[in-house]
Amino acid sequence: MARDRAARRARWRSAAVCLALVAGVGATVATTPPLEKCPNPPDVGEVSEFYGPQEYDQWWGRSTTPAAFVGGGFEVRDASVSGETCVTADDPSVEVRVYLEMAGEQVPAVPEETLRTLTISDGAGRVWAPSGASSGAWEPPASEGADPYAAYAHISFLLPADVAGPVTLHLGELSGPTVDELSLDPPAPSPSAS
Amino acid sequence: MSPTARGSVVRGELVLHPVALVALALLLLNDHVLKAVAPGWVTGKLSDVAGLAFFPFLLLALRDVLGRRRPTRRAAVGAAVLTGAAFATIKLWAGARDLWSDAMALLRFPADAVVAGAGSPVPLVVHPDPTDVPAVVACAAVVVVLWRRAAADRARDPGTTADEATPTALTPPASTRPSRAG
Repeated sequence: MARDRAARRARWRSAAVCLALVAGVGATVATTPPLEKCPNPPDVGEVSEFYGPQEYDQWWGRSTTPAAFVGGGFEVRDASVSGETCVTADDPSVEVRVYLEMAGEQVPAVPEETLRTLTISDGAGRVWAPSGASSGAWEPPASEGADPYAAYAHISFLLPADVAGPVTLHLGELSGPTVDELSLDPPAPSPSAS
Repeated sequence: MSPTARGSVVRGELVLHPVALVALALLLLNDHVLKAVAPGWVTGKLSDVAGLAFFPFLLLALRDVLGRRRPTRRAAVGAAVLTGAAFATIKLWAGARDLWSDAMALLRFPADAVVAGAGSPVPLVVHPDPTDVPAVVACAAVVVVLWRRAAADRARDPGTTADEATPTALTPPASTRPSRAG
């Protein structure tokens, strides 16, 4: 009788272990949430491909082409463009942000009036001025061994949902001897090897 | 975990320890109820702490069940360090985040396909947040549990060495223990 009880207890404990393991594995996998789907995904062609796929609610970002240049007395080591998805054809405008990171130390902030000379144009000949601009100077590391903070510039634009390619950032007073505009379009897909 | 009354040992029963069960319950409750009811900093961190406390128990239990290797204090330290290091890496390095996101998306796909009708693995959200990293201290829970058990085992049987003390009750049932013949 006692051995039967022990065997039954062992079986119950084994079942409990199985349940806990399954629940544990499930909880581990499920604890990382999936991206939310866009509530009103647009029909094909309603929103410009410039904004990428409109299936999930997330930020998109990519480097410009070229992503580094010298102009206006600054050396930009990384230029990128970003924005949000879930754009619909009814959106009056879509915020697109351009980020410029400067190379070098002791670099001052880019004057706002300089940043305001940058413009974006699209394939339909439309041109937009910045809706916002900010910048920061180079800062030394916050603690020993840490990296310094590079000088940077943020420029925001409000573009329509149907912006037509090619989308180009004109550098205005940041133009250099060899570069006066950057392409903001997604990179062309590389041809597959045959 | 102590053996059942007559000494049968169940593999993987470390996962039934109260600390593991409470951490698991907290993780499930927080992810599926509390975050929806009271989203904020606390519920955001609670999943990390509960998950990090529970996951090393899960690793050791799976090792016990699948690898037929009992949890030891050394294995507990290894599981805790592995869990904490993986978590910190995912939070701090974009490459690790992408790997984790892809792996979890694949693991979730069968359930997402059945429940939500997903046609392909759904991308996951892993927020890079260095302030989450201190939560790795929760991984030490399994080490504390096994250390205390080892101490209790040694107190019960002073002849047991530290290496032999494997706290999920490898102590064989009294009826099968060899007698200490004088």
